[in-house]
Amino acid sequence: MNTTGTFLLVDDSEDDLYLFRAACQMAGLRNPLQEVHDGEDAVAYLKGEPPFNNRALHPLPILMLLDLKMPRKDGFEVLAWLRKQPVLRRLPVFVLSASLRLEDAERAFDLGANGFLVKPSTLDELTDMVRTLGAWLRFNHLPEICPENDA
Amino acid sequence: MGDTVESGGEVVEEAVRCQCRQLIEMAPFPMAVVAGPGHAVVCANVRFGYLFGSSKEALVGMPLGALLDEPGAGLKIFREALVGGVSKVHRETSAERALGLGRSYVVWPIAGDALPEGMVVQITASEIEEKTLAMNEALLLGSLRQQGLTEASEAAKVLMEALVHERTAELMEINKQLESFVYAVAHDLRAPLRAMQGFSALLAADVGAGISVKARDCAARIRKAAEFMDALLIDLLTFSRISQQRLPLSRVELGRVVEAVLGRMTEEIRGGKVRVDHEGPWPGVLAHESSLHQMIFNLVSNALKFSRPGVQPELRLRAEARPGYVRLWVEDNGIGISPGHQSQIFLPFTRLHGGKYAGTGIGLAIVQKGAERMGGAVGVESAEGLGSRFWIDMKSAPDTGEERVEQSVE
Repeated sequence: MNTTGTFLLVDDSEDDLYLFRAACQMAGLRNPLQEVHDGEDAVAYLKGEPPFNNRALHPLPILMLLDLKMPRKDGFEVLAWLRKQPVLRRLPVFVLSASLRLEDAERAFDLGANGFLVKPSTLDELTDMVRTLGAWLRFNHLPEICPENDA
Repeated sequence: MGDTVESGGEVVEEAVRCQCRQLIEMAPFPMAVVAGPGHAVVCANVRFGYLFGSSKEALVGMPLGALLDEPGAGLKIFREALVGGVSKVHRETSAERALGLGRSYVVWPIAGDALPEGMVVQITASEIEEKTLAMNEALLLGSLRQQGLTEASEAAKVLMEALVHERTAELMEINKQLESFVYAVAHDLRAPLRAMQGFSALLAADVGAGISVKARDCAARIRKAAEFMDALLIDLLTFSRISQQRLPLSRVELGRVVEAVLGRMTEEIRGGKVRVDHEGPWPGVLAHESSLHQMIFNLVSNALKFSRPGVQPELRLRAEARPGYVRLWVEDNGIGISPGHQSQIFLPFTRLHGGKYAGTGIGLAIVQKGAERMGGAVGVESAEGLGSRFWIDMKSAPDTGEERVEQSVE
């Protein structure tokens, strides 16, 4: 069971990415973090297209944290694309959004999100959330997503 | 334009049919609408059918000449009526009567754009007096007039309904846009607040960097200010939602909502050593459940917050069944509210004690607005130093077994 794999963070807010990294540190989560700032880069990363074609530098993640409101393809589009890919579609995705709208959560789950996390307003709560993510990872038996099988 | 029916080789317009169908169906005497040179039946009433020993439907398309025993005399008035455009009456002569035929024909031409388009024919036994026939003609003309008026008012009604529908759609669109706007504003304002809270928290926690006590204190104040503004935005969002959105109302188990609210506050209740009494009975109310939950949460939260120092806090929730409505009481033994302030506290952004007690000043405004939207009311009985008894009135919804769904008050 791979609990030390990479997290792919997809968010256009530098501040939110910074705080997430800080929360990971405070929660004692050691998974390597990769960051992209919009939906198109997220797809390119997952496809292994340049500039993300070196898998040693940009490994396939075991979990993706996906913001919704982003330029150049939003979170919904990324999710819709992902769930159509033959093997990649098994990648667990937690939407991490500031949206409190029920319809956004519904749409995310309809598109195959594994969770809808609302960005907490305090760093303490974010740290708690990250700690919980870590625990969730330990208890989950995640399927392998091998790039060779990717058609 | 419209369906046509073949009749003796002639074609008859749908419009002629529609105009008189309802009319002749209501007529007490045998009546039919005929049209075309062959005077073919366009539609007939049931009695007309009986007269010829047939169903009215079977007669459609049949030329009148084929139906009448003595076509000649009868049909002359048809021609006259059509040409002259006036109604005509023909009573069969005593000779014809002797033959057992004895009928009277009354014919009313149906006006077309230029020439009469068809005729209404009434065939009755000759014994029926002139007076009755005249009455019938008056009734027929009256009905035609009435139908004209009814059609006009029907048209007006349809137009009204279309306007109302359009206006309602407009209002709903405006409401939706307003809600989107409020939402977008709140969403975008909360992002920098997250940053302010997070980064100042990081600053304050960064012990190793040698940040002075003063700097750490400043960072803490920034953090608290950001957290407060975030709470304010959340409450404003709630207030906006409760004020504007459509809130479908249905039967809600009051006891269950009370339990849920108290469940959320177990830590505060235990920590504050609060004595809570929430004995039933708990009647059903007509409400919007999640809004009601928020309202009760705000009242309970206040009750716990505004406790008297040195006094064990007591909280009591109970429901009073009253005629047609239910009054929910949320009672505490806290610091109380002077009569002069009791109406003020329900206004948004009102905090009686400034910064001394945490809170956004919108909690009670949410309670009041929510109650209004559900067709109810709120109020308080209190005196300074003697605790407060808040109440919410809601429509009662007894358990009749059938689902009852209403719309909130706009």
